[in-house]
Order: sequence, then C-alpha cells, then structure tokens
Amino acid sequence: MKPWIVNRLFEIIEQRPEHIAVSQGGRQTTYGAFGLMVSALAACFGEKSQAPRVAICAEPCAETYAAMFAAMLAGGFYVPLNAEAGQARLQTAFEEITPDVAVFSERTLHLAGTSGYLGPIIMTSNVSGHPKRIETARTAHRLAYVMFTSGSTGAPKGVMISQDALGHYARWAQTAMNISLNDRWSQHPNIGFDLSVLDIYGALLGGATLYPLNEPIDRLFPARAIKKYSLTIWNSVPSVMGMILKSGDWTQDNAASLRLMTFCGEPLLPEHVEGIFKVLPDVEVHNTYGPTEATVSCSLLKLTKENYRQHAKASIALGDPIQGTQFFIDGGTRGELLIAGLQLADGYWNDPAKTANAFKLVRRDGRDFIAYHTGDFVLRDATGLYFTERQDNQVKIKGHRVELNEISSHIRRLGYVHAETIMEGQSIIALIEGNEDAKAAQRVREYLSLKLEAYMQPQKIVFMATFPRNANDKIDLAALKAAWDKLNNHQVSTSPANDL
Amino acid sequence: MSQDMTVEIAIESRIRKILTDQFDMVLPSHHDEITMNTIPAWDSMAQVQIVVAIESEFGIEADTALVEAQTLVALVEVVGAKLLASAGASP
Repeated sequence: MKPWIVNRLFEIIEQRPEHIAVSQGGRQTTYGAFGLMVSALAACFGEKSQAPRVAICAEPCAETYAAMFAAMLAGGFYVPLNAEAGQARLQTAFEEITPDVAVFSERTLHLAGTSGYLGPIIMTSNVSGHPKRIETARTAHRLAYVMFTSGSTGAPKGVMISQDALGHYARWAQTAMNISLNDRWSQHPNIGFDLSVLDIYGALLGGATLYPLNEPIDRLFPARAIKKYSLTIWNSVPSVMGMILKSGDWTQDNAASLRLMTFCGEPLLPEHVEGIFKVLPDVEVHNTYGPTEATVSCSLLKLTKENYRQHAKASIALGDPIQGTQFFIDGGTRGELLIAGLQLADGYWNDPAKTANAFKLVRRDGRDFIAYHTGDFVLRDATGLYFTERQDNQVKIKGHRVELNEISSHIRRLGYVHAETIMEGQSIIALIEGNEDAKAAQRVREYLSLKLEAYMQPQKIVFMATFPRNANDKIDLAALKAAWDKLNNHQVSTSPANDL
Repeated sequence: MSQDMTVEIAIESRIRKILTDQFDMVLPSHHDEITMNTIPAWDSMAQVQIVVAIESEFGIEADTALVEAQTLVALVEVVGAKLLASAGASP
C-alpha cells in the first residue's frame, strides 16, 4: 500500500494531470510530468535498497521535490541537505546516514567529492524523460525524513520525522490554509531548513503551484518576486519580512496578489504585522511556532488588522496548539514550553542519549505524555502565549539556528578546557581561558574553518587569563560577558590585544 | 591616468560612501577587507539596502550580478559594467 502522503499526491496527479505543479524560471512542470519524475526516481532508488536512504543535495526544483516523494514511494526516507551548509556539516550528515543513493544537481555535484560521499549518485538533469517506473509498491518506511540541525556538543543532530507526523501536519495545513489549485505558493527557505516542508507538502498535496525562488534577485527582493509570479501565498521566516519592509519594496503594486502570509522560525514582531496591514489591510496573516522536533510548526494564531494589537508584546503571540498537539508550561504560566502530540519526532538519528534527554515522560492531569523539551521559555497570560527567551545559548545567525556550544565544543577539542562563545550584536566572540598568544588564536581559527560553516566562524577569538566563576566554582557567563565588554572597550581605547 | 580608471575611482568613492553610511563605520583601508565575509553587519538585509541605495545613486536596476556582488571590488565592477552598457545603448 502506498503511504498516505504519496497516495494523496497521486490522487491529485490523476485529477489534474495538466495543472502546473512547479514553476521555475519559465520552466513549468505539470502534475502529470511530476508524477513520472516521482515514479522514475522511486525505481532508481528502489534498485539500491528495499528501504533506501536518499540524501538530497540540490537546489529546489521539480526533480528535488520529486525525489522526496520518490524516497517514500520506494519504501525509504530522505535526508534534505542544505547545499550551502559547508563541507564539514555535509560530511557529518553523509557519515551519519550512510545513504544508499544521493541526488545532486550540476550546481552541487562538486560537494559529493568535498564531503567524501562515494556512493551512487543520481543527477536532477537525468530525471526528466527517464524510462524507468517503479513496478511494485513497497511497504512504507516509518520515517519520512531526517533533518539535521545545530547540536550543542559539536555534531549536528539528525531529527527523525515519521510519515505519520508529516501526514498529520500536511493535512492540518490543507485545512488551516484553505489551499486550492488557484494558489501560487512561494518556496523561499532552503530544503535543509524545515520551513520548506510546509511549502512543499502544503502546495503539492493541495494541488497548488509551487514557485521555488532560487534566483539571487528573487531571494533578495522577494516583494518584486511576488509581483513577477503573482504569488497568492507567502511563507518565510519573519526576518525576510523585515528585509522586505526595509527595502522599500513593500507596496500595493508589488504585493496585491497575496491572500495569505505565514511566518515561522523566529519571533514575528509587531512592526512586521503593522507594516503588512498598512499595505494589504485584508491579507490573512498566520503566526506559527514549532521546533524541527515537532514537524515544522504546531501552533497557529490568525492575525487581522483588527486583532493583532491585542496579541502583541515584544513579539506577536505564538497562538494555540493545533489539533493533535498539547502544550505544557513547566512552571504553570511562565517557564519552559513542553510539546506533546502527534507531530513529535521519533528522536535523534543514532543518538538515544540525546533523544532521552529531550523527549521525556511528563504527567499532566493524571495522564502520561512523551513531551519534547523545547528549551524555549514562554509566558502565558489572557492575551496569549509569548516566547520570552532561550534556556540555552541557541541563537539565530543570518537566519540559521546555531547552538553556540557547538562552536565552544570544537575549541575544547583542541585541549582548551574552558571555552565559551558569546554574541556581541551580530558578531560571534569565542573566549578561551588561558595565556596564549595570537599564533594560538590563529590555530584555533584555522581549525574552526575546517569544522564549521562560514556563518558560524567567530569574528574574534580571545584568550583571557582566568574566567570569572560563581560560588559553586562554575563559570559565571554573565560575569564573563561583562569582563569581555570591559576588555573590548579597553582594547579599542588602547592597544590591540591578542585577538585577531 | 586613463579615463576608465578615473571613472572607476569615482564609482568606488560613491559606493564607499554608501557602505560607510550603511555600516556607520570607518571602512578598512584594504579592498580585500571590505566584503560580506569580513564585515559582520554585512548580512543579506544589509545587502538589500546597499543594492537599493546603488539603484537610486546610479539610476540602474538590480539584476543577478548586482545582488551577487558582495565585496566592494565586485560592486564597483558590476556598477561600472552596467553604466558602460547603458552609455553604449544610448549614444
């Protein structure tokens, strides 16, 4: 039996084979042609294994999306990889997953070599018109995909999302967003970032047309792209909306085709919403929240120009948990947000210890739940649920989720027992306890350049003779930050110290 | 000094002014240090504002080459080429 997700896709293919599924740079792929791609790719994947693990490392296009459905049709699952992620991260993903087959494009093929992947490769350019078709349907794999995200111990974590969880989410999206074949949907986030999952399954399981925005000009000037493609649905992180508003491009002329804008991945700010409604007073705005570990998003707040001020503090409220999901606050009305329900991940790939640490049994109202401990601190009052702060030192850098401990732990591997990474504005500062010189800092820098992506490289690497400690002899992070501020200001006014 | 070089220096000084205003800082003296990778505040949002400022400063429209120019050197090159092309189109 075909899994639900694949089944639903083929229902649409049967009903509307001539309708456009994916439109990109003047190239249009009908649902019928898309179905042939899925079937051909599934045949190729199926030859490699009864339950193929498929790595996908290509820019968003019809073939890339087809490979996702094909992996499931072939009885396997896929691992979407950000081609911009940097060599070390890709290498880790390939080593962890050991894929049976990988999909690359002309643009990304060089990454196979640099990331040490030696297995079979299928090129996106060879898919169209491929004669193979999958013969017999396979038993569905439990998993749909494994998505890698920054991990505090130095290695990225592979979040395992089941087909049940993804199916639940995709069904919710169909109803909540009222998707129809008239919708033209943006596809802005990278496939290695799970916000893209909403675009892909929302649009293609709803019979809409998906518009991958790969061209640099479309990515930098999204409002101009909305006009160019007459998009009806926009989905992105809120900072992209901030970018649109700052560019001066947010005009009625550019944005008039939109009926729905949905945001996730970062706090949505009142000024974003105010800016949106100033130009499009009747557009529907959805604020959603969710960690990768709960399948993209699991809350919804529908905003209108009338109601948004009632749900605005420093950021806009997160909304209520969607059907099938439960939220608990550890501490009543203020504390860590715990999530239970049908969209929870199966845990972390090959890491039972981390899984046990994040997915824990909690007892509420006499019932037991497995709850994901988000590390997000929230506050609930009469007007809604609000994000307040992170419990750990996870930050967003240029839109990427980064655990600063990942950087520190690489430095510790060089033999520096105490290393901490802090943010100063948009700059990453690595602080190391010790009396070393600029040469040592240079060695740290060279090592990190091999291990971490460009956006995770510290702007400064600084040795400090001793770190401040609290009464329990633990490093006092607040005092350390203050010590850095003092040192930094001193450096500016006097001589350069041993940073780089 | 050739005319081309004079024009290029003039373009560079106008773009330097845009970058200085954008980042509110004294730019490093070396060209190589004025890039998206070396200036922390030069993220994609800053790039949008730089491109919009260049559009209005030089009366040109953004294209792929301009949005992908993420260093001072590249910005000067792309703007120079676009100005040259538009000058050639209208004799």
